[in-house]
Amino acid sequence: MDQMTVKRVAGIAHIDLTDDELKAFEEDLSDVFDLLMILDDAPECDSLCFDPVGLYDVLRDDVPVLYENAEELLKDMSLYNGLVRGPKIA
Amino acid sequence: MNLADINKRYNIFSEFVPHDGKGFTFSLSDDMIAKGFQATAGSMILEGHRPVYDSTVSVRMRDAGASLIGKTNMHEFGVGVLSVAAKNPFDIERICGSGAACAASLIDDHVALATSGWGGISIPAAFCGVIGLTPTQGRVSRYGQIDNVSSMGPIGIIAPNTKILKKYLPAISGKDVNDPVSCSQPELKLGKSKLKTVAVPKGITDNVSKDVRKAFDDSVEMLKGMSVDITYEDMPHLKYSMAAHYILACVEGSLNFATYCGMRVGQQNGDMSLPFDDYFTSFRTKYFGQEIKKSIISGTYMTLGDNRNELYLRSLGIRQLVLDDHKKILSKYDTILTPSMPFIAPKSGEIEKMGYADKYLSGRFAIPPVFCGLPSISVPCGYSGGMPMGMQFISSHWNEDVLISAAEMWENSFNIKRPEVLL
Repeated sequence: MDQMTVKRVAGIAHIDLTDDELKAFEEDLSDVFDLLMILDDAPECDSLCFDPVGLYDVLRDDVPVLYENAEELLKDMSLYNGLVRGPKIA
Repeated sequence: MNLADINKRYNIFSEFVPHDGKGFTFSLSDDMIAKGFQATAGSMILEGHRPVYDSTVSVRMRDAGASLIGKTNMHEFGVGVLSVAAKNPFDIERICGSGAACAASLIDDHVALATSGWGGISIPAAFCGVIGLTPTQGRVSRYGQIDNVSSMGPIGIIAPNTKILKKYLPAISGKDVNDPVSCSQPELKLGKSKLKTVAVPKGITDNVSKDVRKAFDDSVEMLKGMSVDITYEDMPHLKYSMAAHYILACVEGSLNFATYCGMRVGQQNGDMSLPFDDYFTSFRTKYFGQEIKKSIISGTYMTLGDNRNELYLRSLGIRQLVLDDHKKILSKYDTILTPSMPFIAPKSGEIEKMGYADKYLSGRFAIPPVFCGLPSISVPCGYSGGMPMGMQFISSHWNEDVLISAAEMWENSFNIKRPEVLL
């Protein structure tokens, strides 16, 4: 993974890196990506193991319930007139 | 020493309540939610996050009669293997892996709950000389756990002895409508199994430290003396598990961490005049730590373009191969036995000298069972220079019973030491 790639991918992930971080990340990520090369030697497998245990969702009925203390849910959020604040879109 | 003094010395808790430490107590690692406590998962980006509800494990532990005394320190979102979050109870110059294991080691009759997506139960348990049970994925409800690695990493128990572990595992296990995957589990039955046969993967002690190899070999001999049949077996795909785990854990983590962007939870004190993308970037850049940033960048890269097939989907196939290896062995033997860690708890300075990949690879015993959703238990198996070492039994899905039976049998024969300073 070269510095250009690290910088490009970090941008996609909404992370800015300083020049020093770029250099350190390039070294560390190249180090771990070398480790991943072992997969080139692994045999093919027909099935994909998304869930190793074989769990399945057991769904309850979807019953709407009124949560009476909405203020409690909002107490740690940054609000404006009772609405969650966010940055401008454009 | 009281709880405050002990916390000052070992940096166990991110937050705790005054308590004399007597009676049955429990702690939650900081990625589990308890009403009234801050829940940061060890991350600056979640500072100030005080959820208004309880995790299922928190409720169930209280219902079972245990008192919550605090939230234990952890490395950021539990990502990575060698955590410097707290100090080791056997030597404060060394790491302990997590505050949870440190609490279980120092406080009598204490249960520390922790999560294990990156080996965060077996690893600290081995470093701190306590018992760490990682249950089958889905055995314990994850409702109220801050997401990290979604397809692996169940909540488990770290405790000073099996008596406490046996008391509280049934309490936190079982179906929970708030976590649909917990509802497909079979009933937990304890006291039905006895350890008779163990498989040891061939070459498993290659490249471990001399003291760990000796302790492990001595323990195998001791098990033979306890009428346990030991057989060495090939596990040809085990060597691929770390690479595939890294890929899946980083991909799943990077998706879950996308939630954190300076809105709704945690840090929100940014400049609202910034454009949308810049606002999010400013928070993630300022408040995520270095290890998380690396894992997010890795995970993002692995899902871009062709990497999705070549890395992510390929790793799902590898997981099937590694799981098949385990299943094949566990169809013939009660458990698989490995060391828990390849070395004793290192000093912080020693970790700084290690490469990124080497640090990750040090979890090569603790991570494969987690990767396959299999239950495991780490027990102390020796001491080197006063520092504990651990070994780990792995069993079939849902068979926690044989693990506890094995740990109990081992505990009755092996002299487990406690640190000199206790609460």
